[in-house]
Amino acid sequence: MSSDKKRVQFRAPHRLVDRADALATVLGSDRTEVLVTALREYLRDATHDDDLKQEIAAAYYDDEITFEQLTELVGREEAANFRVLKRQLDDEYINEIAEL
Amino acid sequence: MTELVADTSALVSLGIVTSEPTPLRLLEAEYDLLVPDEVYRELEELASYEDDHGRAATRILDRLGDDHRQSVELDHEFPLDDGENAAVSLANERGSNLFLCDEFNSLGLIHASLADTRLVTTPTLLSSFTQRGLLTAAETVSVLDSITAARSWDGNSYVQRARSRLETD
Repeated sequence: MSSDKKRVQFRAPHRLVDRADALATVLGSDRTEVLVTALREYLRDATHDDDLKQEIAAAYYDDEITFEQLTELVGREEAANFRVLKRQLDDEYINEIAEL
Repeated sequence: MTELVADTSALVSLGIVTSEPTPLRLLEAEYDLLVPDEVYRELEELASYEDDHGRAATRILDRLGDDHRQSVELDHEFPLDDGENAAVSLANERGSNLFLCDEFNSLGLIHASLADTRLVTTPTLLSSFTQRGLLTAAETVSVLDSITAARSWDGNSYVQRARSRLETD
């Protein structure tokens, strides 16, 4: 296994795993391949969803995720927008504006 | 006085509110307000529509005199629409204190393009009005609610955070 891969362990319903295995057989690949593809596609779709993007931004505003994690999820450009908005929420910044 | 260059988006946000004291009047009283010709033209175009945004644009145009307008050369390298482009160029050319803009999806780029000018969005500007005692926190929340309804900001978590901050003040 190459070093940029991480081993994870999780529990999933039997039926779901059986279906993944069946699809792997059809495609001539393996369970890992099917699960990784499914996860990749889910993450891509989810981060194009505006509501979910706002959830992600909210987690960043509340310091639940870092800027690096934010960038991983929504991309550099969108992350830059959220970083500017986070600064707009900063009390000190609002005070600075009020004092001008 | 503190000089503030405004983009079309934020002026329209402020122009939506008609309850006294209107945020538009506060803006004009507190700052030297400047807009580039491109923003003025965008407002004229919006004012031709019979909706909330059109009426807001009309209210702004009624308050903008010649001394609020300035022509500026566009920076053609800048990948934004003409209004934002001209407003950023104007703020940089004059070294204005503040740049008021509500284009949330372009703020990273706008922020990076401003040299010495501080960026401020409408919710933050309103919060600073509260800080200065120009609006009570309750008045600011109600102003923000009117703008949120007209601009479909309901789902925006930045606006939600700005609002809940005012409620806890």
